[in-house]
Amino acid sequence: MAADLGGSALWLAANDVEGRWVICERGLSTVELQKVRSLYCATKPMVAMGVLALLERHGVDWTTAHVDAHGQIRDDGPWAVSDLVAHRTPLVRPTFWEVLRLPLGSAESELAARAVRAAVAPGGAVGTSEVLAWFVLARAAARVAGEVWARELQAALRAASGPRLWLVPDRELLDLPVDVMATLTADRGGTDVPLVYALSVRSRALTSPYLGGYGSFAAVVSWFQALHRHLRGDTAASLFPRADRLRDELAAASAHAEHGGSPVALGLETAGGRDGRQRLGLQVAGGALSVEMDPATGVIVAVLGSRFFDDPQRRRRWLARERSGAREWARRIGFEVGW
Amino acid sequence: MTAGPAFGRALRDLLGRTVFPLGLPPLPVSLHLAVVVPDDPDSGLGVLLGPGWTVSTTDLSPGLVHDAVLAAPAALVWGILTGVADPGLATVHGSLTGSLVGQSALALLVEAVSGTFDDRWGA
Repeated sequence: MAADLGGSALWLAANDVEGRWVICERGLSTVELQKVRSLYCATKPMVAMGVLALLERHGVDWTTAHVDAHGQIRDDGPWAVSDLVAHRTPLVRPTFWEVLRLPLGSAESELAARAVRAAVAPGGAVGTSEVLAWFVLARAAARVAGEVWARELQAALRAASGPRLWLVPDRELLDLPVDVMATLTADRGGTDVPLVYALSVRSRALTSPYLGGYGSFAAVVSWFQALHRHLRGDTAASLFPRADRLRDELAAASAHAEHGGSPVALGLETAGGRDGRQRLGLQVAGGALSVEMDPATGVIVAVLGSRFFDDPQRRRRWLARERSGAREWARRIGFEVGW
Repeated sequence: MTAGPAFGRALRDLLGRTVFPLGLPPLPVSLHLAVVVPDDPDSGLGVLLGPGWTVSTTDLSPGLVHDAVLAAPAALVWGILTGVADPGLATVHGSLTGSLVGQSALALLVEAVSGTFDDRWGA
């Protein structure tokens, strides 16, 4: 039986100068890891589980509930709540990028209209929903608990993961200078170019549970640690649905994935590790961070991707500084590393 | 400001005075952007974003593949760039197009030129 390590976080940096993986940080205190970033889809599992927990507290069985375009829970609703959080609906458009550039103040009405159109004309290919399924889920939460639900979920997440996490904008987020914020990048002719628009005050003002949030990589890993504690029995009813239902849903997604289905459940990717045990994970900011958790042991592997550092010299120095002692720590927690 | 002989000069002057926020991540390549004004074809111009986020305006170059293009009538272009009209209007009707990288830079350019962030999103 694997030892329970209580949500230990192991930071790795992929693809260092020799092409190996190197453990960089086992704590959560470095400036880089606390830097505010556009997390976007990385907050989707936080929102999914928070909303499902909210529905449970209001007596809704989310495993069977259906919802309509206005967020009303009803038996004849066009979408199952459990499908919304698993990318199993045709609510594929608009993309995140399309919503980010809508005129200010129009995102809510545009998405509401799109949801209504999708409900009256069901069908279409099922696929990844960057925004609309999460918008419907957010409406369901508002129907059940009022518009204040998002701020309450944000407060609960901050209590578990630290103060640097936003699902809704406030003055502090809008006032953050761009020089403390990392960004997404996209390829242009083989060169990574920053997607600077994600840094603008306007984009920050559009922060929402359905579009995505801002926060630190440390907050993301802290959330995984809270998830493990919840699965282990230290219930966090404001953040996660009942642990037994959560386990069932994640196990079903893993089994589904083995037969070629979607491996996503509650916003998390589910897969089997090399040891045959289940892993839960997600990708942050286009590969800047990958997080993978072994729910059996609580080991969390956070891999900083090549896009984490914008300066290769800085990356090399950081890796060199942290290399000492890394192998020993990996050996001590029994984690298999490929180097 | 509407289409006419003075429009092109005013457009160049406005874009030439662009001030980006401090602290932007390095721009490792130059990006070629363009503003196209269908009702005033003589007023269109190119914008070269260079490393260091330098901005220089140029004549439109028909043979050049641009990273992104803002194409809209003169009144809308002027309204967006002066903060009178919402920058989102440049995209909602498909008038801002290009690569993801190009659109990102051009969208930020539009917001930097209009300079109305805090007026719109005060506490």
